Amino acid sequence: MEPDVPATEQPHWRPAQFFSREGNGVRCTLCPHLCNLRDGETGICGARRRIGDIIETASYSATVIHLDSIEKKPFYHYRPGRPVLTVGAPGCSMACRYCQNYRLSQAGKPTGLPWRAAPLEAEDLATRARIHNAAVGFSYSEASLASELTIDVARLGKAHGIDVVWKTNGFLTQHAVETVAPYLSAVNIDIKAADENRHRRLTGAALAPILETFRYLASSRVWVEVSTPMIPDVNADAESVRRIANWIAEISVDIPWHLVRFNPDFGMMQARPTLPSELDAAVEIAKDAGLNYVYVERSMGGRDTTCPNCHAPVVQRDIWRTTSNVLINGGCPACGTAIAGKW
Amino acid sequence: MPESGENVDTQYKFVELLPDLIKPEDYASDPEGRTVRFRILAGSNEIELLGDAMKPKFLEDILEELTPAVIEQMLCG
Repeated sequence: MEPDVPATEQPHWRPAQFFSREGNGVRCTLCPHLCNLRDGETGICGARRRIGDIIETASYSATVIHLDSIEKKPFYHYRPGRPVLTVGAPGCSMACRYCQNYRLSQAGKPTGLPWRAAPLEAEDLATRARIHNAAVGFSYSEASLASELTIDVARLGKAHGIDVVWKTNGFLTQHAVETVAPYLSAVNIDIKAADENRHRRLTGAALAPILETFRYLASSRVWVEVSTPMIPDVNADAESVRRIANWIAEISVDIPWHLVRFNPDFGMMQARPTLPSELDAAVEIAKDAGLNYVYVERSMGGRDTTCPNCHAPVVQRDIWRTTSNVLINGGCPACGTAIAGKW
Repeated sequence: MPESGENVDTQYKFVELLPDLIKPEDYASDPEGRTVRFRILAGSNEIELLGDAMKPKFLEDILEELTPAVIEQMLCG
């Protein structure tokens, strides 16, 4: 599915929210980089710039609009089988060394990768979602850069039951999270490393604000799932896995955790992929931490949901979709235990 | 930036779905992740080359050497 209008190589700027004026400076307050920008300067994300005394966003744009299954994001406990009209636009607040989507996420930055996207209006996106009876998703690059578009689409779609979901790095200021959360239905947030130094080296961004975002969203009405790329020598060791599992379990043992096989790419070509034994060990550690729903992506099996009480299979999935869902009113058909989620 | 250069004549197009040629069980037999697989489909006027790799950049480097107009790529997420 292509955007309605042809892509251009010049960003389409429009006034943004999330900034403050400080003396002669204008500071973007969307993410914790808090870029203090000179007139005409673009922020670290490549998608927000200062013009005069305001910040503009280039995220009313789409390089791709794909109709995906919600399981592909991945969401496993949120409206299984629901199609998601997924928008991807250039830019990201991080620069993850392993990013497989770097041609999109790092476009428009000093990398030299070209910006290529078409302008996108909230009304058009909401209309398309209604036609396909789909949710609207922001993914592939950094969803939170589209915070203003998210708010606009959610407002327009509310009357038609169009929910908005994010696959996000979670690198947002508290103010931005609190502002946009009421417009989000579900979020899959990446926790990419278990300590600050490794996270900064991997992504170019701090870890602490991401954990704050996670905790805030998980305590709100937004449905939250977590993903972690299992990267050898970064976070696939037992101590790192245990630490992340414990962070999740402290919030709720019912938060689904997706362990994602790492395929070396971009700036990490010398690394090796995650071994099956490392994924197996991580699942055991996560279960020992008390987590009820642990999944392995890009691997054999590991995608099905079993009842945490009687271990009966309740939801089965193949690579990109739900193939069987025997839940009765969100409960296990064998023992009646409620399975966490929005079914 | 990626660790090797890109062929500027080739455009990357992001598509919704491409078939997997690497199977999960392959990772146990190739822990260094050097496996690249291809499926070649010959049509009357064109040849379609489908590839999959444990390290995607390996595959892209090979495909770019063939100087295609377009390489289709599936995005994560």
